[in-house]
Amino acid sequence: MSEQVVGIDLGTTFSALATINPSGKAEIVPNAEGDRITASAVYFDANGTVTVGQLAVEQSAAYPDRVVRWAKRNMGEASWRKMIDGKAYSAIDISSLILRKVAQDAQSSLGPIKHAVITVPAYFDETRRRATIQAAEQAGLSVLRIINEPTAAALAYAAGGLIKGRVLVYDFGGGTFDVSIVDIASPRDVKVVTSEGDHRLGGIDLDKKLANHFNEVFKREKGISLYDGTLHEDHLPAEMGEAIIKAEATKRALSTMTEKTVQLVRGGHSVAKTIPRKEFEQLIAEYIVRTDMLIDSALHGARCTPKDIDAVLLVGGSTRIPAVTALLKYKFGKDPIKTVNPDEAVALGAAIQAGMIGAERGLISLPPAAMAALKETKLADVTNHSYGVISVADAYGVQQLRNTPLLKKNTPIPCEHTESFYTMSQNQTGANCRITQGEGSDPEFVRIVAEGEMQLPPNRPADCEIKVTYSYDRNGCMSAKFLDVQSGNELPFVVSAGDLKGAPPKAQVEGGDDLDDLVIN
Amino acid sequence: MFSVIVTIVLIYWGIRLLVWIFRKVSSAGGGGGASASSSANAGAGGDTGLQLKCLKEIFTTESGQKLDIAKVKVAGQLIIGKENVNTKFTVRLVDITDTQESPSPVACLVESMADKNGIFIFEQELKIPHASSTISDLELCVIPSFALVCPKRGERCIRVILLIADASDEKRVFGVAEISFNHTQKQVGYLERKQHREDQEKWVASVALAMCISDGAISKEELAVVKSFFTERLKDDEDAAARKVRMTEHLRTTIIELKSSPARPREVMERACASIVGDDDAGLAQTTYELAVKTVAGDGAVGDEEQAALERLATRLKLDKEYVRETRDRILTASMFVFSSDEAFLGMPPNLSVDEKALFLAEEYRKWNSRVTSPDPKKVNEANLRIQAITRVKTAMGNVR
Repeated sequence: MSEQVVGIDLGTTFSALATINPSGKAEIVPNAEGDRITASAVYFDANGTVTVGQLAVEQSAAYPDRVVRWAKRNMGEASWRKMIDGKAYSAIDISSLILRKVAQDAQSSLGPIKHAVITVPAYFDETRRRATIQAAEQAGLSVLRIINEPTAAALAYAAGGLIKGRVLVYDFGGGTFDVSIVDIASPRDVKVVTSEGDHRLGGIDLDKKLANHFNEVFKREKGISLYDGTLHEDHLPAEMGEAIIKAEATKRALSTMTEKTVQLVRGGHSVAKTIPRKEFEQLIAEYIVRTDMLIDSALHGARCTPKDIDAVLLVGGSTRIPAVTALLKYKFGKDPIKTVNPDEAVALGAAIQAGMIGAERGLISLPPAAMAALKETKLADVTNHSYGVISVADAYGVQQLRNTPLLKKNTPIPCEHTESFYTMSQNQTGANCRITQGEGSDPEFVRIVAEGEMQLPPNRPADCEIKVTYSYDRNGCMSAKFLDVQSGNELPFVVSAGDLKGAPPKAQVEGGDDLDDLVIN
Repeated sequence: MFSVIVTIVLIYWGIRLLVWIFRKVSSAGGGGGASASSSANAGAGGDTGLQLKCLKEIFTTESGQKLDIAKVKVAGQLIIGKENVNTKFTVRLVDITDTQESPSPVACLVESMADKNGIFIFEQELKIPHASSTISDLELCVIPSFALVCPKRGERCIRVILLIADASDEKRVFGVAEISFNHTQKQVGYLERKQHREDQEKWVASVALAMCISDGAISKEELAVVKSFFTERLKDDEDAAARKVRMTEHLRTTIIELKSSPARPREVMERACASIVGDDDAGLAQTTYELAVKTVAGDGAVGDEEQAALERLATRLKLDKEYVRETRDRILTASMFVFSSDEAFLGMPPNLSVDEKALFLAEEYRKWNSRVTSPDPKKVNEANLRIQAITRVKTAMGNVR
């Protein structure tokens, strides 16, 4: 069998894998359990067996200390660990187990899978993107590209041929929320205009809010708490885990029902609480408003208004909430579109991108028309963050360190920009070169993604020119070059999600056992 | 510095001696080829082969900045005695305000017009084709008056000295000329710098201590911030020990003064601010404000009186509003305040229309949402708190269904 290329949506709450079928169309590949999406949960039993998926979720109430959920929220955080049986697992480790599961399940029908396009939230920074690549490589996958979730979804919608014009992709998933404004000229021509995101806003926040509400109700009725402590993703005692599971079920039910009754039980006490949909919507109103603010941010970035949007595309399970549809209809004056399953759109789009790259590189074999269609498909994305340099500049009448963006956020890629800077003093023999990611000119609020010291020749006056060039290519590879014009001395950098230079140290399970030894169900 | 002064004095008297010799030689009718020179303005008298003019002008840069300059022009007879001689024109400046007998060097901040000690010098080599030449209003150099540093601030008298000598043997002098011009030095002179720096630090300390007591008491934590600031600042000073003693004494006496009456804190603050504003140093004003903010934040809480005092300080120091906001964002956190409302927490101006509120919230949201990816967890937490407050206010506005 030839190698397969797949697209994987590595979600906070659910993941999905899709591929290009022999007709050249993207399709979801179900997991071993027959489900089209796989819960992003990992259960470690006492014997060392690892279970990924819905079964792990079901164990979370009984064995909260042995189940890891929502690890994507901690992706890229070097210090985050989940301790299980004396071993420490990072978010990269957990994510790699999930990726391994979805890939292994798909291999049974597709054959060996080597290459994948993995999606990430639009607002993921370089550290988190690199961490995602590490997770994929740890799972035995070679990453063809990392693409943004709303971009992938736009590809999937465009491929259907029914959507054209300037669209807003509203991606409200389990753990993250992204908004992108995309121009779809044709099924094969997709151009991202702007992207905004909030990687701490998702369906699980609504679940926690509702679970808190259950707790308040129970306390009022029975004088005792439904659970002790505060809801914290990393430490969920059994009662909390159960409250969240009930909250999630209630949330889902209220998408189709106007009210739902839930049994709240603790230590022999029981309360039957009926939650009307309106009450739920009041509880989550602030989260819906937050998505509205991000929409406004995206519109501001694209310099357009709601009237300029031809269609609103729904992505992510949380878009099933009626309050979301109501917001979008009110704001844009039209019903949002969900002709592509919101749980699957991202994976399908990722598969299309994988097919495009596979066709270009000769990794896949399809009928000529399908190959041609993939090769002709154009996808233009934008930079998700601004990249700048720290230099001395005038700020409020004083020369001080400032961040100067060179590649601004939402610049179409590929792109390149050069700016000149100058040495500050006579006989300056070095220049500290720091590449930043983030917005604003205050260096305190941006992240330094790469730095180095450039040597300069001695005995020169001040004001010698140093040209700084930043480039960002289609593969998400950002590179920089600092050039001393007079001497020709150069200091190059590669700051790339596709390059592990400068990436965090490979996360290993502490205790010596490699993840390869773990048996995954 | 002392050696520099000695050097300049020697050069000056060397030149005066040469001038005397030239006049003697000229009046005796001897050869040598050197002509006496003086400038009409300086009134040195005697034979005047060369005359200097010093014309003050204002130079406007491309960005519209206006800079004071002085153009030095020379005219007159220059007798070399031979043809095609390489000559060196040297222009030096000395400050003769306080005494003509012991002039002081004039420093220059433009590196290309200063020697290795930072003292003004202009040198130019010229080949003079004829044994005797008439120089007609030759613009010799442009003195960057805006970049001169005299020993003291204020109205100064600067003497321009031109020496024309053989480039291969500078002892062979062909001409000397002088002229004086009046110069207003706005910045602190180099002899005053050390004392001035200490004065500035005392003003900053006074403001910080006045901020400490703005809520009625000086807490240990707030005082520790002030002490730590000056410990760090003075640690590498060549006179660190003595300066620390003087600063400690200043802090002690200022605290006594602040506690002496309820009105004192404002008076002390006003006095110090007047000096800071009068110094016209943006960096000093910013350092003062930043230390004041850090000081009030030192005990982890910022009360209403401290808030009000910070606002008064920002206004008094004439600080840019955006700078003030940036500094507060960087140093103060939500946990330090007890706000009466989310609007107050966000710093939303009162009495905004619905549209203005929406615009304010949208701008604040964009600013703080961009900070949730900061590498500093405290800043991320701060950003999240702000975003939560913004969404609460927006939700209450009821524009979203």
